Amino acid sequence: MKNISRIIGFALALVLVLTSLGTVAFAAEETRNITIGLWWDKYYDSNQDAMEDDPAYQGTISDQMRFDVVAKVEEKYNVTIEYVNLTYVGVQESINTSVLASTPDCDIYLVDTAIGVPAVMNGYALDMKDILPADSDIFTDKVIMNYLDLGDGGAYMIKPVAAQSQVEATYPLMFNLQMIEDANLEDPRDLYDKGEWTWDKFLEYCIALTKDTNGDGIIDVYGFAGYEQEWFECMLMSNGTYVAKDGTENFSSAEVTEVLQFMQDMYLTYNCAYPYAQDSASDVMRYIYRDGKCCFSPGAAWILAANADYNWDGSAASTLEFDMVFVPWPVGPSGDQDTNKMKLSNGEFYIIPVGVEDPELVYNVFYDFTNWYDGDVSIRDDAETLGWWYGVTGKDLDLQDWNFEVMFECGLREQFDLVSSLAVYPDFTGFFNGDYTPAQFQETYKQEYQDALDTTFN
Amino acid sequence: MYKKLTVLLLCVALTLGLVGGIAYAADGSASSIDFEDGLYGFVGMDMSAGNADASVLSLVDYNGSKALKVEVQSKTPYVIFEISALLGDDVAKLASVTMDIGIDNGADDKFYACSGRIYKYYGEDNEDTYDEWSVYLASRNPNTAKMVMDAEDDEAFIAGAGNYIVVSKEVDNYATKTGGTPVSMYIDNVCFYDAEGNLLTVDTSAMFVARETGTDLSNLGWLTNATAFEGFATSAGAWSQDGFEMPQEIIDALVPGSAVQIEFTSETGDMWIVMPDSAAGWMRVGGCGNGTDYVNNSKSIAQIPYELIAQFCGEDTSAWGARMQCESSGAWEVYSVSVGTLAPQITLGNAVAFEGFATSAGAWSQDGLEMPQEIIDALVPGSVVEISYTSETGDMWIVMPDSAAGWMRVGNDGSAICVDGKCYITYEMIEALCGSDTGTWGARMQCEASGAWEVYSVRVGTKLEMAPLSNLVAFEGFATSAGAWSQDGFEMTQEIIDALVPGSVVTINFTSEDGTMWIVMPDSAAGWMRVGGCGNGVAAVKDGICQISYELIAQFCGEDKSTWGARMQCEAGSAWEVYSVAVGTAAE
Repeated sequence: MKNISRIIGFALALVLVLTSLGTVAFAAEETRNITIGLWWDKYYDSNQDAMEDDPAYQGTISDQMRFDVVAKVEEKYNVTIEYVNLTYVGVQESINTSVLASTPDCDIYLVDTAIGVPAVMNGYALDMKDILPADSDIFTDKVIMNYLDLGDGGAYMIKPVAAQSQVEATYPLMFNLQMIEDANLEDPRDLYDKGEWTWDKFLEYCIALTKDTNGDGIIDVYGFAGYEQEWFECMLMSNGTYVAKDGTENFSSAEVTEVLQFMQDMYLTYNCAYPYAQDSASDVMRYIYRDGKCCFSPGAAWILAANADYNWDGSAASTLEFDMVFVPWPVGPSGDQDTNKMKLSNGEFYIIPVGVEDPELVYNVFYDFTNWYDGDVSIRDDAETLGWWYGVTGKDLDLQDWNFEVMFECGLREQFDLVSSLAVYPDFTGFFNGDYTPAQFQETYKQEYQDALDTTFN
Repeated sequence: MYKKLTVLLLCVALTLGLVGGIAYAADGSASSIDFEDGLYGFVGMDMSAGNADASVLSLVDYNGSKALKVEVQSKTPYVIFEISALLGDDVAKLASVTMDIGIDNGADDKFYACSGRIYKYYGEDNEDTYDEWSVYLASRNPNTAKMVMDAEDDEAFIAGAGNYIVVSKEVDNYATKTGGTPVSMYIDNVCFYDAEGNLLTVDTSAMFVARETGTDLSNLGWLTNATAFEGFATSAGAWSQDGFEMPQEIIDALVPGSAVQIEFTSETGDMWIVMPDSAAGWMRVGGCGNGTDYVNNSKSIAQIPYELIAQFCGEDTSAWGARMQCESSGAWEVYSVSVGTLAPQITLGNAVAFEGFATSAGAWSQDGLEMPQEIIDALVPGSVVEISYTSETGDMWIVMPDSAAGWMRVGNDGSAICVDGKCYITYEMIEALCGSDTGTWGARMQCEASGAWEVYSVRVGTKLEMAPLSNLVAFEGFATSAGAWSQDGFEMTQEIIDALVPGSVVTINFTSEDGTMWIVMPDSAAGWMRVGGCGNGVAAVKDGICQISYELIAQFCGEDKSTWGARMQCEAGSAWEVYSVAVGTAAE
């Protein structure tokens, strides 16, 4: 009996040892499947055998490189990569259930700010600063990867760098170059370089450029004209502030008071802003510059393209006779030229969820997978694709390059702020007419912003 | 000893397992509706949305028990649960709903994620909002969906108000990726909870009541002063004809400006008439190369104008023969035929509400209000007065009691266009009687009818016409959505480019929160260009259909359509969704 017990015990131990060895051996050979959860069908991943599997395949070099990088990453890291289309609602639900349960369904998730920011606030996303070395590209050169700075010191929402997505939705300030020259004013670009492009200087310029050009006693050229939405957004960033980037509204802050006071003063105190259209303001105020009736205005590639101002493809009948030049917005009293944000964040980001196995591996796989162009940004930022972004902003090639670079720099400095995404519509028309003081304006609308944030984040 | 210990451990494990199993069974069995009683008459399909699917509902075995199967035919299913009938007065206690939702694999037996919404229609006026569900992984199929009433937002069901909920499947990755038929979904274990989390019981004998969705008049004109072709209800197979001898009142109604209107179904969606005894010969009209009739998007109403019949059968109706028949390329059934005056549907652009104009009176009695300045300002050439009303006799007109030309009825001679509870009286009609100087029209505008009447609202705006459309060319794949002031669209196919000719109209089937819709030509040589809104013309919009004419596009993008660019996009002043786009030929 004793011998049988010993034999049974030995056999059990042997089984245990053999099983463990088998598990280790299996683990050493096992290929990990890195899953990327998103809400549309993206290509390529390890499931495609041919480039033609991508319905958008056009036989370009970039198609070939995006297809080839899959095999390279598979071999380098012993992984496969799989896009998993969860639907948009499914991405939300997957993050909110599986990550909460510490068993994330996916290794990395594509998110927009509506999903990503709450995920970060709920502690579902990993901070890349805890995962990666401080000299990683994402924190330094940002050639391949960038992240959205939520102002909390973390790097939770990562974003592959690409010129087109970077320059999209940027609104630099633009000015009529010939008006500046005719007024013998120093170029605002030079002032910015010297750190002297401030609200005070901007106001000084607007006042100087507001003129009755024909002596009839009626002002017919104003220093500034702009539509409330992008003007307010850019003024907020220029003063280092925001309205709605987390669960608490900032519309009632002192920094926003400064912004509102400055904007209203341009109308009511200094009369250097073009009279605000009472109807269809978005269609009117954005294009005052075209008739030479203002010097400064919020600029954007699409604004200049809307009427083919510079005939970039040769199909328009004429072009504007003057040049519009982009420059960063002036710095407000509570802002800082080095840290001011310049673009409201939009588009898609990625998060690596808490609970994922070996997040550094996941990031490195994703980084190399994203770098299908092997660091050659001229392939990624295809000149032909970007031709529109250059061409629409000017007829002079040097100015086109300059304007593009300003948009590109703006795009590097993203600010998360839901100020224009919460369906809150303050009465700026009434505000510019003097129907409210800044304090009254803030008091009137701060609760609406707060209610909207409560809905968004809860 | 070890043996005894092992047996003891096994017994403990078995006992614990049994207890856990019982506990699980106790948790998993409680539902308000589990379909095990075989009843599902309390659900039905909501067909009000432009992309609504006529899904087939049934009870099947699914995942180990009976479940409601929603077999999707081609579009988006919206399944109504009649919670007011199910719960009775307890509907006012309803605070949350859970249900298990499962989906089939695609036809390739692979899993494709789906998602949708649970719409809650609550309150006295059936306000609506929604929660979302998803089945996003095979391992989460089925998944539990949840709908919660937000008390802070005053969301509450009210007993006796006819409140209900709707379960939809709006994202189907299989259909999107492959173009195949959307997958079926299954609903089971529906639980209704009160605010304390108590399960509410239901009466599963409750019955679904089909919602009134209104008549789909897309691509059609209004048929007024209609004469019914009595007895014309028949059916036949594909390419077979059947019909009746035309009574005198029908022959009398067939005059220039009239049209034959047919309510029908057919397997292929087409319908035309045959004049078998025509002196010009046995003659199809409205199909098969002999012109094209106007057919709505639901393929349930066809209109054949007099002029089209005359084109093929001659101007002399006495030579058209005795009989009128119907025919289709598929098996068909006709429910009714009538003949009346065909006119473009009227809608208002830049409408101004006549605030406070809601009143009633008896037959031949007048009532109204003093016109505010904004109404007077809106009464300009090309404008129209729209009155929403009911009257015992069906008619309605206006009275200008203070007109310098005298106390004046306008539109009582049959010239007012009265259709579906709305009466339209143009500026020109008023001008003809009261003069061109609105300053002499007097202070008041009143309504009157030949029977007791009630007016609910009055508006004045630019008169826009929705053109009857034929020869529709579908913009394949144009179904998308975006937020307010955001654009989305597609590269125009060659068929669409070829269809865009003078006299053509872009027709968009859509919804938007504020009812607006227009197009954007982003690549136009004239620049990025909105057309039909934002100062660039006004699109004709009515009942979820937006029409923008070729001429309006040419006005802003140039006469040469080769310069219009590759893409056409949609945009609206609020969140919007477009279900389909086509280009058709407008009636002259």
